Amino acid sequence: MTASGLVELRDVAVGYAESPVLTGIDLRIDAGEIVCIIGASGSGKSTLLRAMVGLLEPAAGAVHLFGQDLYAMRRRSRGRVLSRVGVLFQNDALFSSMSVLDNVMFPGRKLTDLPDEVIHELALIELARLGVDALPERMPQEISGGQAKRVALARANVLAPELIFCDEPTASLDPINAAVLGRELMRLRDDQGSAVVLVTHNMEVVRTLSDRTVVIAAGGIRAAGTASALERSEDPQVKALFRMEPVPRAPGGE
Amino acid sequence: MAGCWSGPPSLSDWHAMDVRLDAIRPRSLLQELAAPARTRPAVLRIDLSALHDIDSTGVAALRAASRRLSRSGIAVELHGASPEVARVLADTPEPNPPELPREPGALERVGRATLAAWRGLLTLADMTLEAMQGAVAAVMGRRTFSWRDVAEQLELMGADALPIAATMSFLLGLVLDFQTWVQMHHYGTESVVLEFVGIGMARGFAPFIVAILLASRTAPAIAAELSTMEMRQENDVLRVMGISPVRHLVVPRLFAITLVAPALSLIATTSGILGGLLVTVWLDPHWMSALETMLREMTLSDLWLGTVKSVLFGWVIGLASAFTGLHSGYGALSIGIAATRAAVASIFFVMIVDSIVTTLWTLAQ
Repeated sequence: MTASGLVELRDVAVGYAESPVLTGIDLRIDAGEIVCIIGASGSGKSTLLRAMVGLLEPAAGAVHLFGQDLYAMRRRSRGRVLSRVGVLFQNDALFSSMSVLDNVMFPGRKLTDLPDEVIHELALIELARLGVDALPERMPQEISGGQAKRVALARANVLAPELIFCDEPTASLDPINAAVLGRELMRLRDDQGSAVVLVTHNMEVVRTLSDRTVVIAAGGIRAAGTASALERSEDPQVKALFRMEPVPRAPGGE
Repeated sequence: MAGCWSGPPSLSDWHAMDVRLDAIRPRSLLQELAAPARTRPAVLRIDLSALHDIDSTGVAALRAASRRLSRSGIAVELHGASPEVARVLADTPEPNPPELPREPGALERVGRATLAAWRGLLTLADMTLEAMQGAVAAVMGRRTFSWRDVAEQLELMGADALPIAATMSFLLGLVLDFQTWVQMHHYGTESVVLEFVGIGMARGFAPFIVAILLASRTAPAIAAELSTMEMRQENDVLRVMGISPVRHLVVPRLFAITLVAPALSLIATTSGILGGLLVTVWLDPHWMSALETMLREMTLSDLWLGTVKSVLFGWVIGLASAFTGLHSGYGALSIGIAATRAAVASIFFVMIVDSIVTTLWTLAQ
């Protein structure tokens, strides 16, 4: 636990063009915890994640990573801060012009001065950890969606970042692949001490992985707490999410 | 029955008109209701008792008809529906779409377009500055820059384009010589035709034809590749690693095009002269003297001008195509749009740069 938290959002308003999707977001994420962000489709979960990783400048408020205001710093300093972060995008986003191995070696080559042999070994270890070490020379187009997701997680984690963001990590995965990914995320928290931020729709993931869950609805944070506490919530929006019922329209909501 | 379909209850019966529907024909329902609506009743009561079932197309047709009638001041009441039909009507959700944004006026559209163009210009300037910084850092030996990427691009842009560039300029030289020779022959000055072809190719035609080739072949390829990477979030991966897509993707392409454009231009100049020489040898018995005249009159400054132009053309093409690729949006059409815009913008800016450089050079002579 650091004095200022790995991630701190202070009164953040974020959205596209001139219409904010979320307003008044205050959130703190500490080392060694898995935080799930849940909400109905279109509620702004992925938008919030984009703001947290430096891809979408908030209209108001501040996003602090490792105690530094992400959007107030110069380009190069922001690069240094972001190099301590790993991100797993929803669609895997593997570099289509590189092999699986080159994809996983990429962060090591670009962000460290380690010898190539070491980066190579590191990448193979990470691929083996996720059970995809048999495909290093394949191109991303030649592997399945589940394999691509695991390779993308290997790439996000190859330099053991202190903070990992995952956007819908289990979307379109079969239960076995989803379980492999879930186990790996728990290992990152437990062995590596990384903070993991998950945007997800998968309530099974929320129940089994999250230390804390944040519910996004009606343009802001509707509730936050442990999954078991939220499961007992009387808030209709929260109840609907946990019971997988249609989410009622909230006043001023999305 | 959906309450919002009923007219105000205060309307009296003599204002009402009854219509019985035994089936809903979605294509013709509006026409079927047009005749009773022509008498302008306050309420049109639609009897659905003969209707055995209804699906969502039928519900949509009924709702569309009642919306249209209510816009003409005729309220619609549905009655007599069987329990099954009533259930479908009640269960079909009533959409509540947000109000469409107001259509901007002409002045607002011009204002918005101007602002967008200004922002685009600032983004292009920012990208150019960052590319220059990245290029300097790469030359200074920054470890993370990959010269292998430059080599790959050299092959794609240069080696693969070489036969086309050489053939095109050979044919251009041949055509230029032919057409000029015919005219010059009338005045007995055909001995200067090869000189004209040589100097013309070196100063302008060769760099220009190479620029057209790069703008139509390389620029769309760069724009489509970067646009695809943008759409697949590959560039977002770079950004969240703190790696600038401009430095990582654009700078190697700019290095490559800076080398490829003048190299191709020199080859195109040679090839064009050979095309002209072939025609001269064929048509002019004193071709040797024409060749000597050309070699005597052509100077290094002619080649220098062509080289400078081709480097500038290369930068313009590289920056225009990278900019369109990185800012093309995320839709399915964006790749095609980016490729088209890259080609058009490249040719347009090449023409502008050509005009400026040629004018300045001529004035300086």
